[in-house]
Amino acid sequence: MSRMTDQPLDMDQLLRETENDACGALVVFGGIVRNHHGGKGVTGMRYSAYGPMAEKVLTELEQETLEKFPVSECRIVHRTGDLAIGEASVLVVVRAPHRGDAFDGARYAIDTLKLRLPVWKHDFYDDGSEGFQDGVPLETAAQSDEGTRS
Amino acid sequence: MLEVELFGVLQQAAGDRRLQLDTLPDEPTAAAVLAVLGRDYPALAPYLQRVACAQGDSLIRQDQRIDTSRPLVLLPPVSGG
Repeated sequence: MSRMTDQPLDMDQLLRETENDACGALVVFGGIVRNHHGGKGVTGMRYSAYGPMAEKVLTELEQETLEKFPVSECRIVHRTGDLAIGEASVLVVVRAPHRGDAFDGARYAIDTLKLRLPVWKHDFYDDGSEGFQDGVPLETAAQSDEGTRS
Repeated sequence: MLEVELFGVLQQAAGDRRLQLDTLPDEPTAAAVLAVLGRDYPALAPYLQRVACAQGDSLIRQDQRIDTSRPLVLLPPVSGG
C-alpha cells in the first residue's frame, strides 16, 4: 500500500507488513471521521493532498520515528478523497519490544504528521454549508533551524 | 512565465487550481512571487501570509530564488490526520 491513497485504509495489510517476532507491543492509532466539528454537525469530509511531498513526508516520518524511539516497525498511511462518517483517514502502526516505547513512538508520529503533512480537510455540514478547516502553517527549513520545531 | 499551483482554501479563494503569472521580476524569490500574487489576485491576499512554498517534493524558504521552469506550489496551513 502506498502511504497516500484514495482507497479505504487496510489495517490487516499494515499488520501483516509489520509483523515482527521480536516485538511484544503493537500500538495502532486510527484517525476517524467524526460527525461534528466546531459545534456543527458534519455529514462527511473531503481530504486533499499535495501528493509528491506528502508521500515523502510520511516516508521520512516513519524513518525519524524509528531513529528517535526504540521501536522496530513504523508504518503510516493517509487517505484522500471523500470520506464518510466513521471511515479512517489515517492509520499509524508501531511495533516495539516494549509497550511504553510503542505508545511514545505512535504518539510522536501522529503529532508530527499533523505539523508536516500537506493535507487539507474540507468539511460538509448538516446545515448544507461547507468549508476548509483552518490548520497549522508549515514551517520551512529555515524556521526549523531556528529551533521553532519542538 | 510561471505556473502556480494552489491547494486547500487557496483553490477556493482563487476559483482555480492553477494560475499563470506572465510578468515577474528577474530571478524572483518566492516572496516576490507572493507579492505579485497578492497584487494581481486580491482574493488570495488574506491567505498569503500563512502559506508555505514548495517546488517538487521540497519546501523552499521565501527568500529563496525559485526555478521558474517548474511550478511554484502554495500550501496553506495543513490539517491532516
